[in-house]
Amino acid sequence: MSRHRDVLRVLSEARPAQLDRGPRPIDLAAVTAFPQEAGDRANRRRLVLTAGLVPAVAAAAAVTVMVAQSPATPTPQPTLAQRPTPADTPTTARGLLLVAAEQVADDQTVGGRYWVTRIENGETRQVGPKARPYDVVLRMTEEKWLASSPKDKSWVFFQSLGAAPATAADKDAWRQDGFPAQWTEPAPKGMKPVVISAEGGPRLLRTPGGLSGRDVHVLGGQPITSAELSALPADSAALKAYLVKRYKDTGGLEGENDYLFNSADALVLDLPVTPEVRAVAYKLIAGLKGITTLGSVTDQHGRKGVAVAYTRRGDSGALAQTRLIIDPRTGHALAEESWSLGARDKLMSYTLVLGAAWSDDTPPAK
Amino acid sequence: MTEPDAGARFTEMYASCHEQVYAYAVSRAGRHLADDVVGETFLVAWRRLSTVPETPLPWLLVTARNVMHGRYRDEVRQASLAAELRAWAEEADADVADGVTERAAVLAALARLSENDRELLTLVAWQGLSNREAAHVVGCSVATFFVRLHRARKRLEAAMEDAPTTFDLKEFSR
Repeated sequence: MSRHRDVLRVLSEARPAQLDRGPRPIDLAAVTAFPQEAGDRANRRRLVLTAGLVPAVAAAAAVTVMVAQSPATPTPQPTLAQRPTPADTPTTARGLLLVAAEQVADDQTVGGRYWVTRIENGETRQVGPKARPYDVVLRMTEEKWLASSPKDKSWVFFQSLGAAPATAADKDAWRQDGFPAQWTEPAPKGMKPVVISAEGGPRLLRTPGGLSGRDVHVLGGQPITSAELSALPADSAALKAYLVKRYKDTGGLEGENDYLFNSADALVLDLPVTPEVRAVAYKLIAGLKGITTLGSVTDQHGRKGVAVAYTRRGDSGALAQTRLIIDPRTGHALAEESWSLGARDKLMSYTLVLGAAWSDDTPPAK
Repeated sequence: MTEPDAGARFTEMYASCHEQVYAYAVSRAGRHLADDVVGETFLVAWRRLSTVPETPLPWLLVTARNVMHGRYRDEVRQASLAAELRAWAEEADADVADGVTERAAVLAALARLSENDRELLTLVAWQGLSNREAAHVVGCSVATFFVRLHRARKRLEAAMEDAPTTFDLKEFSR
């Protein structure tokens, strides 16, 4: 062949057709049913979207079986209980976190065959007529049996709890909308419209056949194995250095401070790490810029805790805040909430930790 | 965590980018693994949606790259890719249209290059990325990328001549 032709051009023309066949379609509803991690919204500008394009949700996957759960069930209310804090509770964010670190370090955890977590996740979605939109909270539970050994498989169960109006005002708007039991949203071309259902669905096994032991955890947006998690250093400087290295390896598209908060937050919330590492993660958060305390609060299930808040400037000048709610008696994380701050603070999403413990039991079949 | 328009943003991003992420996954890991890579990449994208830049493709390719390295042992991925490269060359050989010789030769030459060279060349020739974007995906500066791309082109040209090639094999290790 001629050496005069540009080899890149030749290569470009030789592009194999196999590249263009496209992937096996993925179930977008199943993907978006996963809880999102807290992140930094300041790094990107909001996409300009057509007014009608509101959220796609897991509800598309929710098979309608039960009618019992009506939208009139008690709605999760943004609740910041009144101060004052108990006399023996530290009044600074740093103090709260250091006490929590002391408490969790005393955990007598010895590991086990599975790390079992149960979480409830809620997300606020805007629905209803364009002229009078209102918010509903879409809730779901997720139960994970995450194998310690690569010889065992991991299992994830999922259940949609349906959607309900977010506040009393939203409930009123929902009534004026005629008490719809579901909300349909137009989807981009080629996609099925998304249905948010007020009704819950059956408990589903999300991982038919189970998952192999690898990549079942996510830390800072990247997969991490149980072995890697159990080998994390229980030393403040070493853990921070490890996370900073991971941050750089991932390309560093968000701020380092945000990345450190998000990763440490995940470690204290529900990842299988030693009590010592969890304690160090609390200390790491205590040393970050932008940490404040909100004092005594209750989570979306009414459990009492103390809240530590991490606030950053989001899109269009709005403030986005992640609240980590800690049980002051045990130092364990109870919940994480994501708020948009403004004239009226708005709860955007929440994650409740209903259980996070080691188990040698056999995972349920369904 | 979740913005009101998160679902719509994600769906749009999937609609506009899934074919390119798949093409990248095929060119790096073969079609046997590509579906898995795409699924995992978009799961990470959803979970980290608030950190995905406005132009998402380079971010998605970096993530796909990390997914491939994290999820499969190198031997597994390379075996799958080797099968893919053989299939391309064979299919190009079987083609009787004009220009097939050159087409088959360039694909066969590509298969003989190092993985690093192959990645640079296909990012530019097949993914249509700018040099800046491609440099971001492979994690080097734009200046370094130009140098590496220049060398990779020279090696591809050399590999298209019949073996044995004339270039210095020691350059492979750079």
